[in-house]
Amino acid sequence: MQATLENYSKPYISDLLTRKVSIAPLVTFRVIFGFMMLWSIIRFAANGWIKSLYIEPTYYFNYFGFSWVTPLGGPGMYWLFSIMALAAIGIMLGAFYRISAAVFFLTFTYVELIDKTNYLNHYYFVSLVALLMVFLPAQKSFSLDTWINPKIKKNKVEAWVRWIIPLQLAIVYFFAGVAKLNPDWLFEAQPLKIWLPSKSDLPLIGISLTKEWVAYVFSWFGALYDLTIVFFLLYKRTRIYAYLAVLAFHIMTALLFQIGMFPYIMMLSTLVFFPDKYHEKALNYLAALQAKIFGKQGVKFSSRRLTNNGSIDYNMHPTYDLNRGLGKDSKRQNVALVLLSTFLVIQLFLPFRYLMYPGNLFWTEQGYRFSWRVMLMEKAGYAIFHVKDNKTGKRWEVNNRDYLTANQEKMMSTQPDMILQFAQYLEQVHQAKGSGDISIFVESYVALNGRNSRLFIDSQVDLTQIEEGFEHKTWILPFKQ
Amino acid sequence: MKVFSSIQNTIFAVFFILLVSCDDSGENGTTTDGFDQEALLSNLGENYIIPAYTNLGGDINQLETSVAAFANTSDISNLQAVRGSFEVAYKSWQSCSMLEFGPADATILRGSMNIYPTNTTQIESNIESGNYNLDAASNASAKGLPAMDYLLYGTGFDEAEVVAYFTDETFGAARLQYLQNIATDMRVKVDAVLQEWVPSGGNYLDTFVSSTGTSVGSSLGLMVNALMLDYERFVRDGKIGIPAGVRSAGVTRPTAVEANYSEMSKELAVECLNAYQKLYLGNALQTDASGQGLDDYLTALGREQLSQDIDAQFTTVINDLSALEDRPLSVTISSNNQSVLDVYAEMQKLVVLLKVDMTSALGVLISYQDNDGD
Repeated sequence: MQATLENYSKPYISDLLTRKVSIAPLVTFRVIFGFMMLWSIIRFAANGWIKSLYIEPTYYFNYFGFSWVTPLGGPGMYWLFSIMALAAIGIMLGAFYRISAAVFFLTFTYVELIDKTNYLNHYYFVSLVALLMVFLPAQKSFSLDTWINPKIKKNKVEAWVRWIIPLQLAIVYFFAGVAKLNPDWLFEAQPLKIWLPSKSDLPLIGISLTKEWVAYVFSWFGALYDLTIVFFLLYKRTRIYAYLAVLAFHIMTALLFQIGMFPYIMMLSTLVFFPDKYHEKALNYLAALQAKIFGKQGVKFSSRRLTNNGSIDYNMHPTYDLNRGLGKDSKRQNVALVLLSTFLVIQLFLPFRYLMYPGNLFWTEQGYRFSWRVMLMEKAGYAIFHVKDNKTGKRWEVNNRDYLTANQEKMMSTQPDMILQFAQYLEQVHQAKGSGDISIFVESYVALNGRNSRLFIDSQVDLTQIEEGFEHKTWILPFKQ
Repeated sequence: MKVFSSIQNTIFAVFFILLVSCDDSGENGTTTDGFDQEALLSNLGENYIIPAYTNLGGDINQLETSVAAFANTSDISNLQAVRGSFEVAYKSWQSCSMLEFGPADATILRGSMNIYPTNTTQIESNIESGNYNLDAASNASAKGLPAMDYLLYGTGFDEAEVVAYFTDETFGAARLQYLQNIATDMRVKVDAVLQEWVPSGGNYLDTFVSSTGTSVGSSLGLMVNALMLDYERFVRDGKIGIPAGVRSAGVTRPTAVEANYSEMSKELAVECLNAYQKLYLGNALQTDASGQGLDDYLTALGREQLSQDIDAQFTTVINDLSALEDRPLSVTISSNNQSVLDVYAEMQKLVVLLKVDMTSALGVLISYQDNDGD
């Protein structure tokens, strides 16, 4: 079915979704995303993390149901990251775009699934965006693909295609804000009350960070920021100030916390909220720069020209087709919209799944991950595993560091599912060594948000008898204030 | 427009707050509810750390001198003198073991000073071949205080036998040479670390005092991480846990104790815990005069109870260690291991208080590895 201009003048909701808009914001986002990912991979490799996180450990905490995702060993992991980097370049340049995006999504997600020790909300964000990018026509302008095959070029996309990335960002911010609406954050200014004074060595602002009221201001401002920033970014009159707030907020978090690439990814990603004309200008500027370097053959965003009165004169472009870029196959588009809706509904549900579990979420962490709970807890723990030989009655302690890296041990000691996984791994190790009937108990202490440490897991429960899964973990001791 | 002005105001308000708060505290460097980290660090540096290395340096120097005298005249009275200096030096080391960050970390001082159980076979084969490099990884457990512990106490049943070991016609000279070499090796390394710390040398003290904050690279971050690593691995496990069998499926390893031959294990453990408590309290090494310590920092952060609990637990561990039977620790482990395991359990409680409660109250990241968080 050929869409015509008349179809789009009717004020249906579906029209809002399928209304044609400039492809430029999606294209700049593609370039930015590819670039940020490439930078992240280089940084990751330069820090030696491929080796220390994915080659050196002897044990990996897999996600329930994903035990088949295992590291590829010495050269294998380096190859995997190299392929991932090439795919990121492919995304950035729009080269073999669909394949690049798919390969990037698969390799990145594979790596993230290897070990939940390394779970970060921003890695989850990257996986989600990468998955979206596979299906978005972000290569249809200003790309190597259009240079190779100009026929695929598009200047316009349906509105939902342009707004899906902003929507994804909105979900991140909004849920991060909702997560901050908890008593510790709002009324105790925890964990900022602990973290901020520890940064008192920062120049200029450092000394103010030791003041208690500053922690409250940061907490409340942070919650307000997360909950409202998207609205201010959407609203024309506030947009520029909102973006300044984005910069201020994320530069601040980059200075204060060791959170890697996240602030930079957010600062650049939120540019997608700016109107089409800025993105077109940016791309044309890049195209001009390219033309200077490569001559005429440079990849151009679009050859539209502006008329005297500043509006775009489509007629001056001989190949411009008003209908190009509109969904020719509405069935396919409907399928896409249904899948997309499912994708979004799942994301809206995941942050609330914790309500299905009794107990304090921060304590039990049942339903904690994949919910945009960022920087919410100062949680430290220490877990001592006791092995009991049921035949001889002998008991001894495990040296966790014989099996885990320092980082794994640290993450494991505050997260019940990892404690259970490790206990069951210890059982396997001991049985492989020929120990017969053994029981494993954990004596673990956890301190949460400035409270004294308390026993975390019921130390009388034999963890070898517990089944891994999503059921409520009754062996976590109740949280006491 | 209303929204417009409110966001603008918010931004201004935040910057204004930041500016104002920088302003009113810029003069004296401290705030009412803040804590002067520089004062804490300079107290620890000047009154504990540098005196500890100065002491150790002097004692190791003395040890080297006594060893030289013994090499000159290998008799019982000179052996007694060497043993005397050795015991003093081994005790001094207990105040330095936990300071394995900065210069000590760069020099790998603990690796040169106190890796045990010592490898007697390696020592003997080094002596026989006469061809060895003490800096080689293979010789890590053939040097330092534990090697000397063996050479001075483990090579004979009594003093006369030990003297005979060193006056042996075939190997006597080589053995004396080895003794001198390991003494010199220790002296050189301790001196290097001390020189790095003192203001007249590398002045690491200045770096230490000015690197405030609690990030991984800050002085507090470095020190607390070094303390925890030393306490867990070399104090709790090394001195008590491993010999008592907690790391070997309940099978005891009595001879794995520190200073097995001179039988100073218990004494050294008490000495070490005393040093830890002193450092925690910020007390001066020599005079025990009270100063700014981690306990004061915790109190300033509103964690007075925790601050006292940790101090009390140090005292408990020290008392329990002292209360162990008055025999070599290796014998106690063989005869009454439960009493040792009980001490171990108390030492374990201290790990929880330090590693979980203290670090999380201070905001120190416990990580021997750099990584992002969120």
